[in-house]
Amino acid sequence: MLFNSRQFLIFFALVYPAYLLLLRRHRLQNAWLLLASVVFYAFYDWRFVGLLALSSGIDFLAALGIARSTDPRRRRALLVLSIASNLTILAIFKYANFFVENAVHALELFGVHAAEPALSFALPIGISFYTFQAISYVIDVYRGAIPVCRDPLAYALFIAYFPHLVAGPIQHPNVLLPQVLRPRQIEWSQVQAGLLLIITGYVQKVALADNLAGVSNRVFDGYIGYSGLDLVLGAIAFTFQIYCDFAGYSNIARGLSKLMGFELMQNFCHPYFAVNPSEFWQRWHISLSTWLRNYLYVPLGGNRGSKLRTARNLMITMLLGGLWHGAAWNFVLWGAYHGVLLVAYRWFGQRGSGGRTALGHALGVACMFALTVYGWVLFRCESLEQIRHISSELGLSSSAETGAFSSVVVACAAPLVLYELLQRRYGNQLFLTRLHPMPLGLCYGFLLVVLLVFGVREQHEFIYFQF
Amino acid sequence: MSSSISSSDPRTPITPEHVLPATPRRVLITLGFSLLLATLVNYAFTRIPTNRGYWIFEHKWRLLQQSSDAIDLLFVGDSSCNQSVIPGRFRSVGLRGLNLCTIGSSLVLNDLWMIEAWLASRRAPDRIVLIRSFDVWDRPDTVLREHLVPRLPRRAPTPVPQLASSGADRLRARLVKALPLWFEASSIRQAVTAAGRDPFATDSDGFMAVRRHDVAHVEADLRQGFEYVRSRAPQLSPVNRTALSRLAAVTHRHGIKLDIVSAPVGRDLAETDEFRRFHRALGELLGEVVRGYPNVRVLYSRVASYANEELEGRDHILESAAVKHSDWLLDELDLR
Repeated sequence: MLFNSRQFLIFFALVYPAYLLLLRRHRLQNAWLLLASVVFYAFYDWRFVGLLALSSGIDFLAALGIARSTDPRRRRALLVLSIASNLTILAIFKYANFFVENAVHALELFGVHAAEPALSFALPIGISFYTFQAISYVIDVYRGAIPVCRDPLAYALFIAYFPHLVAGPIQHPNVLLPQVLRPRQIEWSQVQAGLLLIITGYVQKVALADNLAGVSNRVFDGYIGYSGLDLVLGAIAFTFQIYCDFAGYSNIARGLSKLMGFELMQNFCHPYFAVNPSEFWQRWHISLSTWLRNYLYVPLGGNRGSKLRTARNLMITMLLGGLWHGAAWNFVLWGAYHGVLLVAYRWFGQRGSGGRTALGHALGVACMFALTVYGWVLFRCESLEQIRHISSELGLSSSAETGAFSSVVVACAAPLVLYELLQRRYGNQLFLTRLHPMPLGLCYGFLLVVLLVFGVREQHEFIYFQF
Repeated sequence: MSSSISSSDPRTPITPEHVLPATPRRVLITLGFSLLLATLVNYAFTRIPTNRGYWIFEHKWRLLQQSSDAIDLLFVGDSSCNQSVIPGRFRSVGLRGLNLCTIGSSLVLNDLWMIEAWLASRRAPDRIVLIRSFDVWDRPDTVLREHLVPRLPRRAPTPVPQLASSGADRLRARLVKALPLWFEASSIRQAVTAAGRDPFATDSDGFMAVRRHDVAHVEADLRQGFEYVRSRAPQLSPVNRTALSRLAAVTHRHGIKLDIVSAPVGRDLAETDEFRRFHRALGELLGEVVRGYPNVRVLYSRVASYANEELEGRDHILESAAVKHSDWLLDELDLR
């Protein structure tokens, strides 16, 4: 059930009033929300509800065991058991096909012909998101950073809470669990902010991302026949498409949560205004980058060791971060690319970062944007041949379609950039909510009209679902 | 992730989210004004025509009612004809023509109704030319029944009983008219993005000049056209078959020549074996339906084809090509 489907609108219209009626009956409200979340997930594929329950059950019991035990070896064993079971499930369902295919190819290099097994696994939607959230919970209980959750209903809701279940933001247990455990209040200011996030999220997804997809899909799917400038425009279109798609989903998820009295973390903050790779990752998919920092990079040693050791840690983190996005070499390559950018920035880039002029800042943003766009080319391509062709053909030669492509890219990207400039100018992501209700209402009305007129009605899946 | 990672870096401040304390009144006023604006815009689009097909249908019926008696040639058919036949070009041979062509989904049935409406109050024309594209003959009556019949002018002939729109059709038509922001969004989008380039207008003889050229659209449309002829044999929907047969009978009774001519087609499509085979078979099929009516000719031995730069779509030509096409018709109809 996609957020941009009529099914979802009906679903939420049924779930929300009952949720409000149960506002004073906290446990019942949690049970209702859990039921709604299970139905929401089952709409994608009911078979994977069992997997979600199994994974959640193991982690819940493991965390209880860790909290009850004072024996360090037993606590450690339970932690390993929990993480291993999560990663095994992830490996089987997300990476097994990839590993087997590559193993078969590797054997062929040595002259061994192995048949690929007939069995292949379907990818349970959202598995990467809920697995990471569960792992962080067990680790935090082990570290003593959070108290263990003894309420299975609350824990299940913490994992399965439908707005963030299939595409995040990945919530730190410290943030979401207390909100699940405590009776919630819904403030009118939350409703106001929630409405803005929901409508801007839908505009980002349906009016911007899905229209940009018309350009990027055509260019990347038929890359052989396009001129250099068309390829550049296709890459830029995908750059804005993936941002609007994912940030749009996050905004809708956060907005819906606010309407229900929950607060989810910000997942994006003007990533294409970053001046360097380090800043980019503080602004892009913040929930994942925070997770990788807390549970991978820092445990690996972070930047506490030598330059080379820090570089190693960065590369491992980024390679695994790339692989997290999907079981394919292009994602690994994309992760490696960003790893190299980060290492290069740490080694060479930081020296001149002080006292930057406005022009220097603008140049920094432009350079980082260009590097990011190329990174998305690696991410979007489906073969090394495609990457090679596009990389060598990027240029300024135009074709008969260049005008049409550039119109779409400018028409979609310009309003977004303008809106973000205003957010930065006013120092407030939700600056519109500070308007008088009349102009604010007119803004919402305008966005609603834009959504209805320019929104793509065929339901395109949110890109990040596949991860 | 890294820098988060890089604790030595000064962390970039994330633009915060501040919301003023809100009251129910504030939220309700906000929602009220947003709905008010959306309603006003929606209302505006109920007054401004944005769907080219519906506009053509209504406009051609108005044109029919307002035209003088002195017409020698009536053109009926679909949108490929609407923008390819310039009646003014026929004055060179002393003929006064009128282009009443509408859209594909209006079916031959609407052509029949228009002819019947004309004959009910005017002198019969010498000749009627029916031009419909290769891909509209198999269309069912859905669009005509659900959307076009409710738009027929009051003086139009009563729709044949089996096509009288049902209560559900009328409700749907009303909704479509009342909620253009929802039901007519793609038309509004096209109207907004093409604002001023191809206004909804025809000349006084009913010819609509189209100038907008989108090479990507043409190529994609040609590919779809190829897929259409490749994947099926020509067919006439029952409603088109019945209407064509009746049109032949009506023109025969009134002593009017009826010529059925193929619509213009993109050259890349016209020159494929698949199209030639389809086109030939379609001509034979039409010939079977009108057999027994000596006043009717099916002129499908030749097809006028045009280069991509002269096309709006696979069977829709631009104004520059319409001049050529009208002259081609003069020859095809032996009018010189």
